[in-house]
Amino acid sequence: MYQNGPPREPYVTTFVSPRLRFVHQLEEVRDAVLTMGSMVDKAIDYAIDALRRRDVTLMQRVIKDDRHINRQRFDIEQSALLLMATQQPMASDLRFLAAVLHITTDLERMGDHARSVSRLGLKLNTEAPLKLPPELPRMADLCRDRLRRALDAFVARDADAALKIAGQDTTTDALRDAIYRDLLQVMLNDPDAIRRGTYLLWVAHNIERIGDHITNVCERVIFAVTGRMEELTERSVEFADTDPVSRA
Amino acid sequence: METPHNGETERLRERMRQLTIERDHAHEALANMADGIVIVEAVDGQLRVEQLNGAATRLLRLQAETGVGQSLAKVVRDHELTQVLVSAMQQGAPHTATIRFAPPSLGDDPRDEPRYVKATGFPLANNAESRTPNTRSGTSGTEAGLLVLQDVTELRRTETVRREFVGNVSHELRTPLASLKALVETLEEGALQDPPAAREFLGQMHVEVDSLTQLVQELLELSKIESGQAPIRPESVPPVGLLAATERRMRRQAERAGLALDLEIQDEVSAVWADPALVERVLINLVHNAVKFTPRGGRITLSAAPGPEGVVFSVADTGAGIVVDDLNRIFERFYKVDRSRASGGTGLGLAIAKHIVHAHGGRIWAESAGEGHGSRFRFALAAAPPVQSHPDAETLLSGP
Repeated sequence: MYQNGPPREPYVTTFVSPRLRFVHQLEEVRDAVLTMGSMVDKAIDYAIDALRRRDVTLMQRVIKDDRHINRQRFDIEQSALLLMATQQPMASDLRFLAAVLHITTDLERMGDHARSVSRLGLKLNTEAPLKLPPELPRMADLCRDRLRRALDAFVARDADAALKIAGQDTTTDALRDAIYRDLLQVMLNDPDAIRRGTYLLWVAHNIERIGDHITNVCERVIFAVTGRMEELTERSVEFADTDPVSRA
Repeated sequence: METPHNGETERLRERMRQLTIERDHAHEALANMADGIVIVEAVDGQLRVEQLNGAATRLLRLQAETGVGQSLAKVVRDHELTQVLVSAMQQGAPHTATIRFAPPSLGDDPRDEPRYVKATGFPLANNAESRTPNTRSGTSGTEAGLLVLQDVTELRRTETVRREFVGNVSHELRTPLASLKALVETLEEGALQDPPAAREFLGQMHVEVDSLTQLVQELLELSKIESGQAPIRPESVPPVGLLAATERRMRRQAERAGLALDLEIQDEVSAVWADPALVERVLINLVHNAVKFTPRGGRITLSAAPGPEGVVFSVADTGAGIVVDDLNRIFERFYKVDRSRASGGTGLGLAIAKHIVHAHGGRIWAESAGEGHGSRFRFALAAAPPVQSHPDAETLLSGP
């Protein structure tokens, strides 16, 4: 009778089993992480766009909206802890929730870096315009693309994809090095540009840090999926060597 | 044998048939709408996509046939978009926001350009009776919402162009007016008593008034062509005549700028179907532009050649050249590649040329191998239809 109708998805029945309810709650947490990911993605996009167009309003918006990202992180943390306390999750569910706690911390830090870029943008606006190194937006786009794919891997629970995305941080670092070289040259040629050049160096550094946090997200996705602790320890040591924080 | 039960079955069957048709029509309408439509239902506190049409799939760049039955946050991955619907459903009233979609661009894919989507969320009436049988019904807290998505990228672009236009016109008007004001004040403050100086100032005032007059004239001309008020009187014109006339009118100006103005004409170029006065205007504007951007000792070449669309006219110079990013923008009103160099023009010449060519159904474009490598402006016009000899031409001509 419905042969001509549109295909429809079967819906869950009115009765919701406790397990299904828990699955829905986990999905809600996952969606909240995706929402936070979108907030960070837009913060990076807006921060770079504002920098390029010297748009003060947009810079102020990025700075102001960071509090929403922080709020979202606390909300997710609370939901995850509540589920841990009330549902006593095991195995992959527990690893998922543990990973969420780490991932939201990294996302929150990325938001802070986007805010820093906008704060630097406000400082740069008090100076004469300096041409943005073309690598800068490219670096930001690369980070945003990696962030999106890292979250895809998180949703799909794809450890292989996460490992691959983690490895792409070297490109971000290479672009940062190129920006450093370019800007140093500009500053050597024109001492008047030293202040502006330094601000732009800081911008590049902030974006490079965003890339590092994406690597951390990938690390957590791998943990959530595989759960092999020994491998994780090895990997964390490996990552720690390339972590600029421990370098600094 | 006819029983009351049979009649009831028939009526039910008929009703079902009608409902199916109605539903199919609604589905067809949804599928073919230009606006993106996403229907969402709140299931167990989670917003799930119940339906989405092709336009929404395209606008949100989703994989075809994905999304249905999944959570909205997972499908659209845009918190601003989700928020529009959540606000509408919470407040029980429509909610609208314009959202920027800027996918990270990793190459030169033009699809990576930021787009702007106007999203409107509507709460849907939650009438359990009207629900189809296989959706959840009867549970409290089941809510539904509708997202309507419109691509407003082009609209935003037009608005920006208009805003810039008003700003530019004001700027172009203010500059000569400020000069005039300064000259008048200087005259008042005593220069009037010094006849040679006063005469020089009057001469400068003439120049400023002329440039204001030219600006106003070109603005009027542009608005006439744009609004289609300037009638085009096309006729069959040989390109040779148009090029020669342009060369005659611009030779003096080119010589003053120390430039050579050459004419290259191929014999086999057919006549074009165009308004000769307007096409000459296009050529003059292009040569004028070339003169401005070619340093002394350079060369400007006018030519016409047969092309796939009819006849392609070309004005090439050995001047400053154009960077790739500016090749398309250069035809925008008041667009100046380098303000410090583009002195003396109104910034409308190329825009007028573009509108005239477009009004003829033609195409205009710029080519350049980059800065310092000269540029070439070309426009294509349709060839004139072949001349049909009038059957009575001979009788008419010979006459009685």
